[in-house]
Amino acid sequence: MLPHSPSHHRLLQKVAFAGCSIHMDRNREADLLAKAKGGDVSGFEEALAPYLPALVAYGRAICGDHHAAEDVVQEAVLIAYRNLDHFFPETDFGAWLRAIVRRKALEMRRTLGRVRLGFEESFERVFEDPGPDAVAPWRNALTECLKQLDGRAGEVVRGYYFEGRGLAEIAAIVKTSLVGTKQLLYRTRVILRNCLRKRIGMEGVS
Amino acid sequence: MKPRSCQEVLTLLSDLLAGAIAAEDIETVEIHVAKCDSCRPLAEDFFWQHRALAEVAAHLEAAEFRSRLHALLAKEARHPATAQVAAPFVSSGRKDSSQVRPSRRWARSVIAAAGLFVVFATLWWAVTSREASNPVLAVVESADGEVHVLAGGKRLVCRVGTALGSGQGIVTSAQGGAVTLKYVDGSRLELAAGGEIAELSEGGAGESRGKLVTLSKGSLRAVVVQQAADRPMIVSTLHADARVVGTTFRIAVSVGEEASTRLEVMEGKVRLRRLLGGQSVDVLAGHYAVVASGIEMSPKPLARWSLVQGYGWSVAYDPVSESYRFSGVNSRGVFGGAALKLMEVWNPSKGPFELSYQFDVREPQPQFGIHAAFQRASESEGVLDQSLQVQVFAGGLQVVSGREQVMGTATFQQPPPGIPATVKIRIDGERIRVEINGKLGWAGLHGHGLEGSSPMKLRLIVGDVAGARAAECTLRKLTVVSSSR
Repeated sequence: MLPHSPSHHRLLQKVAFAGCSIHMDRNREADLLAKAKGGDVSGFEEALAPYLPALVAYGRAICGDHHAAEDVVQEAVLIAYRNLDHFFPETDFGAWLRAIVRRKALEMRRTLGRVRLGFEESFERVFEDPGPDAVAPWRNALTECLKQLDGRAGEVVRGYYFEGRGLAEIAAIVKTSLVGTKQLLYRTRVILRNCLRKRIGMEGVS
Repeated sequence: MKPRSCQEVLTLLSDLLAGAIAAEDIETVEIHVAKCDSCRPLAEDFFWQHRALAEVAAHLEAAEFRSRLHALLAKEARHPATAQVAAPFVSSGRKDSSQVRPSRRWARSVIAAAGLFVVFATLWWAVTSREASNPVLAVVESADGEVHVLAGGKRLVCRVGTALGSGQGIVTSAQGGAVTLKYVDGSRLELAAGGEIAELSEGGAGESRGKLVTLSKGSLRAVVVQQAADRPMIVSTLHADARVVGTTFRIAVSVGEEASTRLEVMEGKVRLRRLLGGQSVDVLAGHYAVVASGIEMSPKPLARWSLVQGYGWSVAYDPVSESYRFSGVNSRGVFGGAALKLMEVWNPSKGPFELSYQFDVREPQPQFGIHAAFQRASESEGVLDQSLQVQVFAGGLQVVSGREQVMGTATFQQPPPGIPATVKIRIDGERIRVEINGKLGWAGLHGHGLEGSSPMKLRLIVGDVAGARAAECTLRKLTVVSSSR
């Protein structure tokens, strides 16, 4: 539903050209997967490793729960491993993993009895590339921007994203109401967004 | 549909990303954002930011997560599933029949016991009703995950209360199975996931006289009450015999190319005898010994307070006192390090569920403590919801329902550092009771999804809820007891 962000991709290109890419070489990945098909588990693990954070994040975006997302990814990884013989070398490994995670995460979301996800196209586009390069510039800038968050703004982001807490629990910690916590989270998102825009030198800061 | 301002809509979008939006508001937000040129760029940045934050959080836990996956994949490689499971581009279309359950239950070996009364009653019944030719040696006190009794070359269903006689054994699934056996004298054997006791027997003659436990593989923790000197408990492995007359120890058998038996002694003394060659050593409390090809069998001190995991916070484990010690630096600016999952256990029994532990905090701080999250769960479908959280801090406690409402709070007098506070949390049907130092802290009805008929899953997290201060905490005597109705 949301339009593509050309400025974001310009930034990614800039960072990739600057030599910051940590994505595994496709040939190397293919070698590892070939070894994995021959029974080398470590090859599978090495090929898998760069995608794990994004897969957990993707699972979390769908499930709405970090711990459930780890369960989902764990299950998806086992499914992928068991079906490695059915994985075609010309297929994108990350996309294949993402597809398995998506299916299992949607199952988990139904199991958790959550309301419909909403904005599915937006989620899909944002997580289209599960490789580590996709948010590399955001990740680096985030580290700095997060350090600048203090007081309750820091606590609400830390509590929700890094400790997996619910908003009501965070409300009790920061001694405010649930509504107040939701507003605080929104404001913190805006602060972070402005900081990120500034740090990564993008236009259109509002 | 009520018109909303841009700020209201973006606040709702923030709620949606936090999984806290009402179903009726989703469409409102979708329509508004699709039509509004000023909201769209901010909304898109929110989505990217959401991914980046979640990914950074996942990245911080990546080492721990990869280590769990490594263990899971290694087991899978050794024992591949027979059934293919559905995956994209696979034409079989079969459902995942394995229902892999979370493997973060690495601390499941702390599961201690089902209800004593039930066990003793079962044991008494079993002892008095079975044929004298095959008396009951032990009963299953708790069983978690996939556990089978080995009897006459068959695998039988194992339940709490199942009696094991001479010649029978027990096996736990590599994917999260765990079982505790209790002898009539009160001695306990806790077999961790992926373990196999080939058989139990009792009697024998000469050096084999006593309780014989044949451990084929896996890790076994034993708490053995005082035995008659001439009738010890003998744990026999492929490589060695461990003879005990009353102690606590853990023994693990590795198979494969680097086959070995490792013995760790927490209390008392265990005599370890190598099968090949017959050499013996006495392994004292706080020591371990390894029997393996090409390794001298000499007791060595157990590494105490060894660092086992942590990010921002360090976690040390002492195998002698079986305690966990947590310490952390100022976590301000070190995001994601403020809390650490300690354990995760599954209660399949559907009965009362009790967690108890001791903890003490150096330089007590109001917000530092233990956070227990109980979740209603289905063995076949996984966790259904986050139903109840009990947070016990150095300065008080808080009970939070799954609907994210604070249901109760209480304060208590934190003992001075070095003197632990004892916490007991009991959930029985819809009733919850929290005791601290033997006194009632809070009790009530939670009524939020933890019906008595539902199995539960427990996650234990240690950390600083406020995440702002340095702290050090020691956790001891951690037990989880579940019992069937």
